[in-house]
Order: sequence, then C-alpha cells, then structure tokens
Amino acid sequence: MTGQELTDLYFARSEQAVEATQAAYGAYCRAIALGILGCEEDAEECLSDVWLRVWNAIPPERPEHFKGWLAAVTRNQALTLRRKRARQPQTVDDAALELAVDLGGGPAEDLEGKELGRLISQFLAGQPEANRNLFLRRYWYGDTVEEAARRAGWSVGRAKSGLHRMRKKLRDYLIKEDYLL
Amino acid sequence: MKQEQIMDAMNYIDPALVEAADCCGPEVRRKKWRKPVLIAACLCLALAGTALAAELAGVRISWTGPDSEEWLKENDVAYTVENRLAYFPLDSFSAEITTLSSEVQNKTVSWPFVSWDELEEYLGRNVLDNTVLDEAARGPDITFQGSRGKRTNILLMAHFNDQGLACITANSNHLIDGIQIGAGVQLYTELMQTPVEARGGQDPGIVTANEGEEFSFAEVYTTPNGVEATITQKTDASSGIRETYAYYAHFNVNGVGFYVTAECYPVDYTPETLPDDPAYTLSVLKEVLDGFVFEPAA
Repeated sequence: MTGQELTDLYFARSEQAVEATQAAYGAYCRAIALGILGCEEDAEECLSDVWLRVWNAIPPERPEHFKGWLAAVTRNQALTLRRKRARQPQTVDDAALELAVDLGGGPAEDLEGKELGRLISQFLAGQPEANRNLFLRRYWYGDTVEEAARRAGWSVGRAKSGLHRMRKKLRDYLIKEDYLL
Repeated sequence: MKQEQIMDAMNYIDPALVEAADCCGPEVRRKKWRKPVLIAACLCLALAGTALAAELAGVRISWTGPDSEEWLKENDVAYTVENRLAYFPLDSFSAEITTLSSEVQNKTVSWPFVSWDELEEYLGRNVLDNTVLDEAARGPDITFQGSRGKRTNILLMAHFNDQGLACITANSNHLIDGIQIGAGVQLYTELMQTPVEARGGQDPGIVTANEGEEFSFAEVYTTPNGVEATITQKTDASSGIRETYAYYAHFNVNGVGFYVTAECYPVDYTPETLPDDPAYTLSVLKEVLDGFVFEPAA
C-alpha cells in the first residue's frame, strides 16, 4: 500500500489505517525507535504513541512523503521518550556530537531546530545522492559508520572520508549563509 | 553547536530526503573465500580513515584518511609507503647518469630496456636480481612519455629536481601463469630534498585508488632470506561484473625501496578460467618475493 493510499485511509477514518501502516512501515519505524532508545520495551512503547499520533495528525495533515514524515514522527517520539527515560544510546549521541563539534559555533547556535533543519535540508538537496544518503543514515537514522558504510556498499574508510567531507561542506555552507563563524 | 540542537534540527529534515535515504544501496556481496583475509582487512579498516601510521616490518604504511593532509590534497591516495631509503652519492652511478645530473633540471627522463642487466649497466649499479623474474615471460608494455613508438616492459626513470638527479625508479612487467607481476625499485640520490615534488608524481611509494578500488592490509611476509615485505590487497569492483584482486608488496633492502604487484591478467583465459582466486595471486606474489637475491650491504 502506498503512502497516498494510507493517507486516504486515515482521511476516511478507516480502522484499517493503523493496521496497514504497521504492516507497511512497522519494522522501519521500530528500527528507528530502537536505534534511539536502544531497548525493545521502550521501542514498543514509542511505537504505540506513534500510531496514536499519526491517527490524530491525519487529517488535517496530508504528508507529501508519508514514509519520511512517519519516520520523523517516530524519531521525534523516540527522542521525547529518551529524554523521559534519561537514557543515552551511544550511536545516536556519538553521531550528533560528531556533527556538532565539526559545525562549531556562531549565530546558528541560536537557531530554532526547525530553521536549522531547513538549512541542512537545503544543503543536502544539493549534494550527490550517495553522500546525502550516507549523511542521513549516520546523522538522522543514527547508524554506526560501519552500518552506514555497509548499506552504501562502501568501505568503512571511504564512508568516514565521505562523512568528514560532508560535515566540512555543511560547515562551509552555513558559514556562507552567515550562520556560522 | 550543541548535540541536542543537532538532534532537534534533524527532526526537521525534509521527509523526502529521509525517505530516500532508506532506499540506498544494497550491502556488498562478499564471497566466502574472502574470509581468510577478513581479520587482516578488519585490522586495516580500523586503521583506515584516521590517518594512522602503522610500523609494519621494514616499511611504514600510512593509510590516508579524512584527517590527513594527504587525503585533503589527494583524496585518491590509498596509502603512502615510507621506505627507509638511503641517499646515494651521485658518483655511485654511471658517468652517463652523473653527467646528466649536471645538465638536466626539473624533469623526468625515461629509458626503455630489454633486460634488468642492460638497465643496471646503464645505471652503473646493481639494483634488482630475482631468479623467478629471470624465468618469467615478458609482461605487458609499459607506456611512458616520449616513447616515440618504442615498446618495453622494463623502464628506467630519472627524476631531476632543480639541483639535478634526485630520484631513480625502475620497473618491469612480467607474466607468470596468468598473473601479471610488476616489480620495481626506488633510489634516492644525495640531491633528494623534497621527495614528493622531486619524484615527479610517479612515486611507487604513493599508491592511488581509482573509483571502485579498495585497499587493505593483508600481511607481513618474511622471505627465506629474511626480507620482510608488507603486503596490501586491492579489491576492484569497478567493472560491476566481478570483483578482481591484486596484491602489492613493499619492502626495502640496503636503502633501496622495492615493490612487487601481482594481479590476474586475462591473456588466453576465458572469464570462466581466469585465475582470479586471490589466494593463487598471493601465492605467485610470494614466489616472486622468494626469488629476490641481495648483495650484502656495502
């Protein structure tokens, strides 16, 4: 079932909507939640909240990219639960720290997450697909470098190099846009 | 910037990009027979990417990585080999070579030869003796600047800096049972000052990787006469059809740097009979390494 068809089910307030979403994207969302929470039990709890949130959000929302939107809902929910649990899975933290350190300081530190997210999206849209995906696997999905490399079919060394280059390019981009010093 | 800020910002990344990132490339298919080298490869991968330098036997291998200056300048450099090379006095070479050193600057000059003996006679010193290569078939031609149609499988190159002759490299191509062997030496003279510049970009100590090629440390091999060669493996998946393998061995003896490469060469072989089993390629490489004969240090 496509994202569009799933969205239509939600708009029709069909009871099948949640079940069909779970069938299509349950494993995908579980992997995202598990990557952030690092615990099966918490991931299950997170997903229960996700299905409810999706049900409440559509309508009125009609996401253009259902899968990506669902992933963001899952990630957000997992981060919220993580803060509540005060648990810190290593890979997600390491990834965020890696990026934070390389970006350094400047006006971007005062940016709202939404604005910074928009800038990063803009930057990523202009990058080669393979590098963009590698970046997102590492910093969005929280994959380890090894996992991200395996998924891309790259060596770990090449993935590390690619990520390093992407972080540097992002920093240059934010400097050019006057958000970093 | 703070970790939490990055994590929040990530939540506002365009869902279309996030979605697309879940569909990226498949896992690389690994062949079962690669397992024997996995431990070595893992060791290499742990080192790669962080510009770590490992002291491995007689040579020092520096894997280039995102933090190394080398990588930033030349991101196709897979690794560099730091041989402990001697700086030979100019008068230890033939009169012809010495004379050239006073006449030529900032240039690389190449000469083709039909044998190592002939090359050594011209150079004025013994550089490479190998009983296995003596028996090997002639390998593919080496292309070189200014060849004017000359074909050779043994080439001498002299690299002149602004002072004169700084570095000499010589290499040859051979075939042994479907495996192409490349063998070469590198010598510095007393005029060597800034190695990379003076070597004219043709330094056998700088190993580059083309798109689709990966290098990893394979092993340190000790020959019966006590030479310790550091061997790396190259995996090339660029054809998109099958992975091919090559091995590079580096070592130095008496202040001279040596390298030997081995890879399958598809002459007279069909795709089905191509001898591209890496274990076989490695065994031929070791056979060649065993064939080196060295004079005692002066």
